[in-house]
Amino acid sequence: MQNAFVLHVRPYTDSRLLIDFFTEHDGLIRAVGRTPGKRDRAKYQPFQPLELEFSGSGELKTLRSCELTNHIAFSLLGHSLFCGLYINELLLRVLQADEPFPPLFSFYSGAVQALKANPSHQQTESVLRSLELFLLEQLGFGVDFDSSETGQPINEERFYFYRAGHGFCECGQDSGEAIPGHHLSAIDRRDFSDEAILRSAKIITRAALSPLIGEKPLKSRDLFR
Amino acid sequence: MLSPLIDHLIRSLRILPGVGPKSAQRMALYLLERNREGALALAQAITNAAEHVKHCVSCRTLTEQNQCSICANPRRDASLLCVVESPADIFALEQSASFNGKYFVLHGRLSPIDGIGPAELGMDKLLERLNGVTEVIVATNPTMEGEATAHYIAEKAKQRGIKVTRIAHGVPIGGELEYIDGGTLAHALASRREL
Ligand SMILES: [Zn+2]
Repeated sequence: MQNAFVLHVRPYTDSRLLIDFFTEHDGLIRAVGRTPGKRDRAKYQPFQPLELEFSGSGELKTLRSCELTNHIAFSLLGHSLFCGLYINELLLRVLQADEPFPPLFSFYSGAVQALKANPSHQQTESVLRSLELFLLEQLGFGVDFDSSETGQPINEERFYFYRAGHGFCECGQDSGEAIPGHHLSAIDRRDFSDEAILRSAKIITRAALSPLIGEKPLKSRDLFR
Repeated sequence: MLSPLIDHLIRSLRILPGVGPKSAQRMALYLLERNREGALALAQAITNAAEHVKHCVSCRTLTEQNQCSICANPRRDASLLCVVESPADIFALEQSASFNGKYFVLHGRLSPIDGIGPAELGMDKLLERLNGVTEVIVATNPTMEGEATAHYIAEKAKQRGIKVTRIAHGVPIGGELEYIDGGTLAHALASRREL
């Protein structure tokens, strides 16, 4: 038995579903499960903590058991739901199947709870940015907020732009996506108390994630337009 | 060994949901042995429907007319628009005989991971349909994706100053609370009304 969340479900056969789970000990797994009866339709909805057991070691696992641990607590609504769908699509896009990420699992679980607890714009954006930065670290693409790409310490008074794979590079205040140095230290502390800092963080995580996401844009971004 | 024609019929029947090899064989033999006339009528009905049924220009439900009978009915209240996921939902709501407005069929729900965003669902068509509507009733299913779809529609309709309501999903008539799953109960509580 291990903790898990459903990231996505699609029909497989008349009586079976193809389910992508994010599990605590095995990371992303894809399993075949029986379509639930009327009684527990809610079982394979995303954002609800589950306990499951599966067998098989190939690409497609067989679900042995899967139970909701507490399903009232976690379901998301409104804007929080859009954010949750974005996170799920992001994880499915960038994580390799069958690679364990236990710290990311607990971060994800915390993020879902935070989205549920406070759906304000400030909170949901902070949750998304924190998760993106943590995800990048976990995948070995962590953003270095201490020094520029030339190894100079970040100066709070100066301006920088970010290039994925390179890092921060000093630039003029007026250039396109110039980010003030003091924003970088705030983001490094995960201090998202200011809208402007959140906007800077979004520019950085977008750029840092884009090589991992690839050519095809994430569809859930369309929900926010 | 089955003859090619019978084999082809059996394989064709298997496109139906829930029809496996055994039941397809049973159906084929029934049609051929016991009910030739019915078989020909069925074939004709399928051909006619498959060739002529299309989507209503106003609500996108299935109909062979340009505009379906609900949309064309002047006695139905055009200021009320009920948004559903599929034509089957219209059949269900019509059977309840408790709604006198008009409909809009999404033919799905927002499901970004499957590549279905607002554009793929034809949300622009829905927004065009909102002219002259005073209340949008969102009757998508109580799944996470149905909920996301409802929220999206609600945001867009509110921006246009249109009232938006969501059908309540809750305790079925005759249902006993202790046998109802937590998700349904949570929904029922969230959509409680004053007495
Ligand atoms: Zn119509």
